[in-house]
Amino acid sequence: MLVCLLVCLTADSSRAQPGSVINRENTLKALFLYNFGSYVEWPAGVFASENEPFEIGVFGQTPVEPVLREIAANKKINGRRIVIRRFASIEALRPCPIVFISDDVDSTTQEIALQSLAGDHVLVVGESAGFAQRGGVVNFVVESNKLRFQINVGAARRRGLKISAKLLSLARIVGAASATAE
Amino acid sequence: MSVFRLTAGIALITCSFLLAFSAPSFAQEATSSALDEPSDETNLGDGLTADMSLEELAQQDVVVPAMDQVVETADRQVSTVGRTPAAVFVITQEMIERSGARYLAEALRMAPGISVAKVDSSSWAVTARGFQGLYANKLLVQIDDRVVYSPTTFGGVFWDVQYLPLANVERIEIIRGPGTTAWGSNAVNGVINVITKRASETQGAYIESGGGNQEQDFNTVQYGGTSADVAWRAWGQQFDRNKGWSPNDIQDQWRQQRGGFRADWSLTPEDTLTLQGEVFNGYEGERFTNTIPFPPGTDVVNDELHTSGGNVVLHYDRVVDDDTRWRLWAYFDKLRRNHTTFAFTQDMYDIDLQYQFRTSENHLWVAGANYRRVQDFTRGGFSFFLEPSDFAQNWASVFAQDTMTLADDFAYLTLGIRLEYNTFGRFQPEPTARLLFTPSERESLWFAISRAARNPTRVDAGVNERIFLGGNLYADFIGSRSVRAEGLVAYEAGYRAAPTDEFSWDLATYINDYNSLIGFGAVGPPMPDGPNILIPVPLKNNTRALSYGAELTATYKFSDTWQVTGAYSWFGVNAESGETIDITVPIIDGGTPHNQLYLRSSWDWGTATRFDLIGRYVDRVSALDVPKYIEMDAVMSWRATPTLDFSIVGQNLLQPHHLEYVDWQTGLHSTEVVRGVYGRLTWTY
Repeated sequence: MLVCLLVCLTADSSRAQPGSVINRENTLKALFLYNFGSYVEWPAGVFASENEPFEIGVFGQTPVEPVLREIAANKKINGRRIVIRRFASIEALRPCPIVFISDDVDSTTQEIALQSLAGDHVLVVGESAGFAQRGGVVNFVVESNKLRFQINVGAARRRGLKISAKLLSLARIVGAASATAE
Repeated sequence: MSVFRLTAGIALITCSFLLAFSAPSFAQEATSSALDEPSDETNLGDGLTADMSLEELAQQDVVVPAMDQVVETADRQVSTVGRTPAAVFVITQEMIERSGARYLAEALRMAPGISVAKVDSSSWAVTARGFQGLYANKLLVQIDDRVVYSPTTFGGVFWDVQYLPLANVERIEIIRGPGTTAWGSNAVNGVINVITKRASETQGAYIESGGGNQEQDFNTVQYGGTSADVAWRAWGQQFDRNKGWSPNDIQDQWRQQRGGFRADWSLTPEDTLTLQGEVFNGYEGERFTNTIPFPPGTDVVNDELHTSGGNVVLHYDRVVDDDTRWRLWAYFDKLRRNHTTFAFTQDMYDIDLQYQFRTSENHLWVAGANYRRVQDFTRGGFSFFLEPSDFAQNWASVFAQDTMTLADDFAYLTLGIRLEYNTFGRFQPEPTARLLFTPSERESLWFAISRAARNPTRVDAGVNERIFLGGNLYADFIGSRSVRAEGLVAYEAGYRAAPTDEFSWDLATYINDYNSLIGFGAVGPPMPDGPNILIPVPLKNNTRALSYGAELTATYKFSDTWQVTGAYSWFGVNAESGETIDITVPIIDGGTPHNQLYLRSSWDWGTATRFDLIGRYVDRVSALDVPKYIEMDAVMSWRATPTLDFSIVGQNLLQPHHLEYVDWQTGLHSTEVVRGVYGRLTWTY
């Protein structure tokens, strides 16, 4: 407890710019990604066995990754231990239950990544403008100083993902037109 | 009258505190709230934990204003700037680093409401909200809770010996306005609390080396390690500082060597023990006018002041949970200052106990007790001596303070009182009442009324200081034990806000009503002293003053890589004395600049290069004929490798030299601040 308190104190003050602000966006994104694991249902067969870990893929350089690793070291999703996979290039990219594509990845490569994951049961999460409209399942946006996310329900359905009502209630639904067309 | 009512009200609070203290209920609450605490593993810092629910996460602000900067000094509990009902300003390590400051006093120039002026190469006149002087006596300065103002002479701070590796400073908390309820007498106009990093944060090797025309050479070597449950660091440093400018070439070069250590033991997850200490030795050239008992009556002395000393501080901390905490510290501090005309040794012993606890959801208490003893041995001469030459002063005090939540996340009331005894000041009540409103997470509004006291020092209680008047006539300023404590009733109000993520500002205003200020009384009958005639001028509590002012700070972030911050301080005062002729009144009225402006622009070029430009305007000091000045500093630093850092610092770049202050207390001759450039290299491994 003391250690925690001290860590919090020192972390706060070292992160604070002179007279400026503390930005918690990356920590919040990591926490949401971790929570998505419990509020999305993947089709049977995505996890080969009971013991198979829950993999979260990260594509692109992002400060979200170290926070995810910190969570992974201490938390589980539905009893599964969490493993963070880092994909350095589009060639290395492969399906995981959740793949986070950071805005460090340029839009052309994002497009290719979305296409290459299109046939898999992957909750593709992004943080770039229009990501959900372009076929991503979830996209983070900051609105009036709160971290919000858009969900493309059609894209989720196409990937065989069932998103819980609770998660949907907190989301902005996008791409509804394509969803009804299906 | 109003003070009396306030005191009575707070006495009631104290009684209720005693009742609460004896009630067993709070112990249970403390344990239950400990269970709600997130475990170490899930805490991600900045108030976020992995245990938060989806709904909770959706409620979180992405950007939290710097009002969340941690502050402990104001009411001796861990709080934030936004939740502090006082004029608080925090200087972080990064701000020190970016300012190019090499000395503690220099780093304080960026704080609103604080006047910093160099007197000579090794001396500063630093004060908060007026009453400036080489030994300004209404300011409390602490380094890791160790009091560094000296009650042995004028009650000022010897800034020359408050040198430490600034890289080890975690932050400097500055409170303008009375802090006597929390910290005791002398915290009349403000409290400056320097908090150094824990040993666990300074692990590995650290080497700093540099030099220039004014900061001729400076070197620091530090190593930090961990063995078992103990994290430690040990350091040594040395510097040589060049003389300032003077028309008659005063040799005020300054050099000092210093070494220190700190060790933090984690006894249990709840208990930590910290042992720290340092020793130092320094020489400072100086010139002063000394009064002599024979013609021509005064003598100009080129002296070398020798300073030495050291301290050992033991801290014990027990954190039961967020609301329940014990703190105990004790220290010994030795200081020696040898001028040829006056020398003293001062031994300070201090023990302080503090307990923080919650009696109910709406009452958070801090209570504590302090005992301090200062033994001095002085040696003076005709011009200046203390009676008796050796003396021991004692302080004993208790305090209690209740922070009440009047409306959750909206209104808070803090009532507190310290009851203090001092050998000279006798019994002093030091109450405060503070009201805080937080209409949103981005703004806070606060009001405070406090009564503070400054105890007489050894000078007030027994000085004999002679000033040559002409012929065989000398004025003899005489302190006495009949001199009482000085009092202040302070009325303060402030507002701070961060309306957008890019812009934040803070305004603090005050009216300070001082009574029983120590001035000079009516001249007594001339006294023959050998061939000379002494005209006695007794020190008396005969002066009143009303001061007022406002301090505004603001920060605007133009982009992720450029931000501008500024501080403007305005100060006014009117003093009056019961005597027909009084020399203290003009010094109070015109001894502190009335306007000050500080502006800093901070650029980051990529991740490796930083550039800061600092502009300072300081109004004239009318009583001392010190003209106003504008100065500029520039700091460029470049991180060559992750472990190696280079910087070039230019200080006072606009003029070859400028005058900042003239000593009116001791006869020390000023030298002017010279344009300076230095280079610096730091290596961490």
